[in-house]
Amino acid sequence: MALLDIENVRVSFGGLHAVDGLSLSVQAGQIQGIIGPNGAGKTTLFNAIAGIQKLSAGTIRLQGREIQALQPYQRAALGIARTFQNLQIFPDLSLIENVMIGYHPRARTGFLAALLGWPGVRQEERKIEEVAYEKLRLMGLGDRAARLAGDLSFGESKLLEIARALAAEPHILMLDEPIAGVPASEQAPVVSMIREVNGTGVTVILVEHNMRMVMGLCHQILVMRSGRYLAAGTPKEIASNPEVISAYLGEEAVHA
Amino acid sequence: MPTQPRTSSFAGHRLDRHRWTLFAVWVLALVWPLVAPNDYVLSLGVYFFINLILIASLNVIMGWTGQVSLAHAAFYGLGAYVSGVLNTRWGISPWLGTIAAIAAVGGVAAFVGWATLRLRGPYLSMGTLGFSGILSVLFVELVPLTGGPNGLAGIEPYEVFGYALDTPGRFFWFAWLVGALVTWLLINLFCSVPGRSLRAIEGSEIGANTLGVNTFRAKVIAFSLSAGMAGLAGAMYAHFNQFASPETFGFFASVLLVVMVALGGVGSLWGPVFGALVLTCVPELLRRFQDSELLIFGLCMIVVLLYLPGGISSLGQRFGRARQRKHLVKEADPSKPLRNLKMESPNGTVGH
Repeated sequence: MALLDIENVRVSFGGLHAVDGLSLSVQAGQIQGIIGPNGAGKTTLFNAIAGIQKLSAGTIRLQGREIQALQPYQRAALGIARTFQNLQIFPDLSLIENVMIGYHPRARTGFLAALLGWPGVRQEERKIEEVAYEKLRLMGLGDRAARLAGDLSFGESKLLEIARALAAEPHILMLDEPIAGVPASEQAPVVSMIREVNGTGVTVILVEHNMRMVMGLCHQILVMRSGRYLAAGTPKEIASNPEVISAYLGEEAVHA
Repeated sequence: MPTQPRTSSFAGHRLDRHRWTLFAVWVLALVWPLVAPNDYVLSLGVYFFINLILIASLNVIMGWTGQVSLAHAAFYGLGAYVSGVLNTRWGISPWLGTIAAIAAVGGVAAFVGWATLRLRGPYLSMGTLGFSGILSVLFVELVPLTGGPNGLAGIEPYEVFGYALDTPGRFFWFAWLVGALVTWLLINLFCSVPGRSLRAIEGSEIGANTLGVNTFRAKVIAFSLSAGMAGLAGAMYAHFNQFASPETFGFFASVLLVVMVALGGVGSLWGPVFGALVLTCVPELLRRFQDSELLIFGLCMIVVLLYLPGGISSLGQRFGRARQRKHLVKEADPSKPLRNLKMESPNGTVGH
């Protein structure tokens, strides 16, 4: 059984089908890439999986359980964590606090206990902070833990979002263009980090425009066009698929 | 290479620092009864703490959670009337009345929040705007209960072991204590999982939701808590003033509270202290300008909000950053990206 089963999913905005009858099975432990030209519906599919975007039709199953009716926070509790292409950081919170929030689905402290400052609260805070700090360091932001997230550059904010998603210790890590906007010198560490995280058993779903990264990193690739399935397979299969080459990769891939 | 910063608990340090600030400020406030030349000036100290609770309550929903309530003066009034009416009409003890006020206002707000907070956007503002109007009408029209436009007179003061807290000198200690208690609770919440979730909603509701925060539930709880605190402030006001009248709790007062939160520093833990100082003192200082008082008040606010959007509590942070910037310009090596220079945390102020 696949970890994540997407069946005949459709997302419509008025008459426009941003995702149109798409199916995809993601096996546990894989790095699944999703590529396609602009407007192919990659981010919409992402939002549908994370629960931000309601489906017009179709089902999404996580380990056999239908999740398409669940709220985003409920899916997070089931182990789906994501980053955003256009960033959803918390600018007025420090970096460490941003990342600590990633751990919140696992935290137990309730409102009353927090208000009264019960003894367990402090221990839990310390634990969350340790996890968060470790993730920050992993993304190379450890020396800026106390700074405000709003002061970061676009690329750094992306790294912060990845750290935050990692703090959730998810089963499925969804990365929406993780290295777009990240300085070239810091892209390689991100790629090896993704590989490393995947090595610990975390399934990764990746949308990215950087073909070299997608081809080098992913086990399986789904190619989308106009909200539809165009092709799927290993990077090798995708790279030699004539339809994909003509539709999307173009001359560049033929020469590569 | 910059040295590794402390790897041990930031959160623990933050919590301790806030608690020490609380301790220091409240010890300092003890001086007030000694230096206040008369009961009137001393009563300003009482109003400071009541205003503090009120502004801090609004800050929880508006500053932390990013949902502007335009009914906080009305909630304040509801708290005052619930406890005041229970006391004057049915002789119920001010203590029980105060608890009833907190529960009633918190409950009413939970309902308003449940109805308006489901959606993202300014729906709470719209809902509370209407609700404030409804409450204002009720305060005036329910004459048999509230005394109508003439106000509700004859509210009894709190009593401790047979001691009536009926003078500013006696009430000051009570207000001081409750102010400290409320601030302590808020500090705990601020540096905890639920508090951080609320502050995340302010930054990005979608982000918070995808990270596992039940944003709807969190917003409703925060709003209910916030309103309950306003109800507490209202009950304290009623039993201190021993009189309540509808115009104190009108829409203008609600807007003024929103401005005070912004002036102090939206979402900062200590902003309401500055907001309460301004709300308590400035009208007194401007009193001699009589009719132009409001105009001057308004102008000052515009200037502050234009040039200091982070509010008064961000002043320290600003100076800190300006100093760093100077420092950086001196040391900056153009071949290195700026962010690789070691920078101090801008969180050195009490604001965060």
